Amino acid sequence: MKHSRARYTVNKTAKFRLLSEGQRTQIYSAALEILEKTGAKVHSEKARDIFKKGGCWINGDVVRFPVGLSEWAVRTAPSKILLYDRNGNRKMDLTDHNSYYGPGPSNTYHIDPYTEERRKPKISDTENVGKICEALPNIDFVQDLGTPDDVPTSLADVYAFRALVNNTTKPIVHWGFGVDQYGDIVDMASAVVGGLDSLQNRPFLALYSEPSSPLQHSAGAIDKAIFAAEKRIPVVYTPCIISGATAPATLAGTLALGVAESMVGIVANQLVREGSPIIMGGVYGIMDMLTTIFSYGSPEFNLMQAGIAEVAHTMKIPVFGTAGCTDSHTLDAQAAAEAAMSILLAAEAGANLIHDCGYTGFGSAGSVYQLVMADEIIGMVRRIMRGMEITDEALALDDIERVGPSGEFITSEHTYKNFKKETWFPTLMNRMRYSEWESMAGGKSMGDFIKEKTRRLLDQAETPALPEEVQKQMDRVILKAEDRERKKASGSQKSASDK
Amino acid sequence: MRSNYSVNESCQLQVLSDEQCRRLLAAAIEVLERTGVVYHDQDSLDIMKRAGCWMDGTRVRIPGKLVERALRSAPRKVTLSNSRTGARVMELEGNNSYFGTGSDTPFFIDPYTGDRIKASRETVGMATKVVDALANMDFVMSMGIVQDVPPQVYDRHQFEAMVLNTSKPIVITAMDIAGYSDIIEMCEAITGGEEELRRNPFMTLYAEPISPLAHGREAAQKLVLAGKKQLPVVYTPCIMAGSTVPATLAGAMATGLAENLSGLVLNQQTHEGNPFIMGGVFSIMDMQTTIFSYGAPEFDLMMAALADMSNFLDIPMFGTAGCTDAKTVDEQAAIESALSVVMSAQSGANLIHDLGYIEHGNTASLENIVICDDLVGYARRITGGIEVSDETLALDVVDAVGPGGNYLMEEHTLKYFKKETWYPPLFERKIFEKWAAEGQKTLLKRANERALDILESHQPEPLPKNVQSRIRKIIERAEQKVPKK
Repeated sequence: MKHSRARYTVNKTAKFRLLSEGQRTQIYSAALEILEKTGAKVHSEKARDIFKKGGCWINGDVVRFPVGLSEWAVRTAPSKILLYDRNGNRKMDLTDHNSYYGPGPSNTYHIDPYTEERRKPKISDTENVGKICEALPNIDFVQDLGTPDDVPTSLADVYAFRALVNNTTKPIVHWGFGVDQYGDIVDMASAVVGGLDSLQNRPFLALYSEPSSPLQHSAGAIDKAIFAAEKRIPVVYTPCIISGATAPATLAGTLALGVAESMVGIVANQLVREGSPIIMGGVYGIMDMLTTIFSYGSPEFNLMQAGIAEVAHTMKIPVFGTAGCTDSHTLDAQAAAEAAMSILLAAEAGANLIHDCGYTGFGSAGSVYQLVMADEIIGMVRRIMRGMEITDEALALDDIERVGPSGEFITSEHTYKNFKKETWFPTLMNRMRYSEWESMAGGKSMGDFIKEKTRRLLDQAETPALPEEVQKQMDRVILKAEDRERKKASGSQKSASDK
Repeated sequence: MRSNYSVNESCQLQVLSDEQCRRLLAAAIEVLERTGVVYHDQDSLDIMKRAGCWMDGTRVRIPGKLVERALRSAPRKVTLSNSRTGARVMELEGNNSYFGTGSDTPFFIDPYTGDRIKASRETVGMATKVVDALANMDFVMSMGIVQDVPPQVYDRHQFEAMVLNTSKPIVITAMDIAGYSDIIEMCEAITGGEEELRRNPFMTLYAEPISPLAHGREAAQKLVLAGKKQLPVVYTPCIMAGSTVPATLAGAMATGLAENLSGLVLNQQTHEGNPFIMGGVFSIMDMQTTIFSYGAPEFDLMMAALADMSNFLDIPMFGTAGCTDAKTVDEQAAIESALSVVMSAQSGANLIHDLGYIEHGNTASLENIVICDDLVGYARRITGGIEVSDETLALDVVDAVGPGGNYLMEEHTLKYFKKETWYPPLFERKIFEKWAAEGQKTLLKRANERALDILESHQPEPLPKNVQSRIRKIIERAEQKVPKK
């Protein structure tokens, strides 16, 4: 092209829009009003003191937040959070419309990848989840997909973390029962990277905490937001909020209430340390009024995912999204369709840290099959979001002229040069003709291929082991933790028997 | 009092910016001026010559001004109606999206046995009946090419099988102008006359050029006849990036658009202002298996970009979705169908066909049609967006319920939950124990049950007996002309 061209604005990715700027600020504004007018119950004296010093009105355990204070906290919270892998390499830039995907935490059941049995999770399952995540190219971070049942109960979170960090180098987003366990996890993570200082500078860990809608922040929840700021570790502070049950039956009302929930955590977190990294968002769904379950597959789920991502973008705070999950209890077409739609919407809206790939039965069971399927879908959606290049080379008008009407492009040099970078190559989608599919692929369904791939990945998994010294340090943390938990348990027995 | 508040009452997906659309249009016009297209029909060549094209045997180069004139004269809206009541049921314009099935597949999955059988009059009738019953399906294409009749008259039989089993609008295919003429005559019998059909059509023809850049004899003749009869026509290519068009998506689109536009010019020259629908099936050739992919992400991307072009040109668009390369209705089918259905609605394609297609367009599946009906419901709810207002923000309700309260019994909940949510008929949300107790059915099983249920119990609105016999006579007349072996 020899000439210049002016005023040429292009889409470098697909563009999506749900809420107008005005609608987003309406929702944020409503959240500010909820916190000032209605307030939230905060069941932690430590937290209430912090809020009081920050200028809130305290009435029993109800805290009301001045709009100015909430807005200040939203402004000081960073708009960009970097997460690294266990080796200090930068892996996730949580800001703007950058999207990353991973599994979800703490399911009650787990689908055995060899027998397909739905059973209680074991620590070996947690190890498998780490291995699979490590191997899947479109999975960027890791969560446990099931609380292990065969370890000391009050330390299942800590054991799970160790199992994950031993089997994956990728960043880990992890939950914990309480601040004590969070301490254990941070200690272990610090051991892995050679000290708390290193962990703070290049965190491979983000913590997770969940308030209870509507407007209730247990000591467990809010103290975690405070702990995270004290330790300066990124924390996700987000509700699982149910439209029609724990939130209004209207989607906008649910969004506003959910934003308010996160904001309580943000205020506490920022008051403790201005600029501490914190992530908002959450799991927004409806209660299905026919079956009373919290649906992970509804179209409203997808809409609210997009909505909360967009509001968070306007607020300039990184957002925790949800996708790749299903209400189906088995690997079938419903599980696939629901996963596809949520993965698409999350990418379109540009949510940042998108979790729950692998959640089935509306979260009751974690499934690595679902996770492996989600990985394939994410690959497709990535290609879609990459959009289309309109350039002279891509338009290929000279080649069109050369080939002419009724010609073909298969043998064209231009085709050979370009087809690889223009197209996505599936690993699980089958595009064979019927007869080939029957004879060469055994007439198998995608479900069959998913199960085979999952087992193959597990068999071939190879994560470099952590150094002996790190292993020893982590063992020591666990021993100390077990000791503490034993004392807690017998301490409470003693005081019970004293009565 | 409030000012300066604008809302989105839907969501939108955009692949191409306005300037990228403009550039793509310029590229398509360059192809037409510089490379040109071939028409294998003398009548069409004469029309294009009279219009002022540069002729070179069958190769025609079209000056940009003719394209621009055609774009201006083509109507922004095409309306299709219900064949029994005459009610206008599809306003194809802007970003209104309607969904329907696909045409002419060689095979069909028997819902009773699961076998892959040859399509026939019977299977076309079955598929049509299912589409007629489904709430989210708006129009019909045959979902099978009738193979148990003399091939020269397959189209008349196919139309009859469809029109007997649905009152919804029909998109037809035809062998040639004789077939198309016969079908038009059948439609006129239904509407009560030529004028009536023209004013309020329930049928549109589908015809396609041969990529790259050629208009076959029958296709061109059908296009010209549509113009002469002033009836709506879908004239769109199926382009295969890397095979019949360049491997780059931009080059593929430029060629596909050029084919669209060269059909449009011929159509508008035949009858200025003729209802014309652009679009097509734009996809890639899979380089490993050489199939035309109905599930690739590049297919989704090009269809969304085509919707952007259709918006830019302000002409109604024929889209494609709800289809898959999978050979069975499995997870792949669901993923590929879901992505394309949702994206089509989000990008605002108008007449979206091929729902129910499996095996990259070779086979029709009633189960996939039924699942797609749910998927369209999803897509519609998602595209419907979120209402943000004082009522929906419900701050008073939040304040009244307070911290730790519950919204289940609130009047606000009762009032709004039905409006705010859409419940899919087939996607289940039961607790594990209940699902297990009820037979652990997969979505496919439930879809199959629904399809069988429709086949057993649904009664399409019949045509009057005299109209039915008129249609029969037209078919018999056509069959008599077929040379006996």
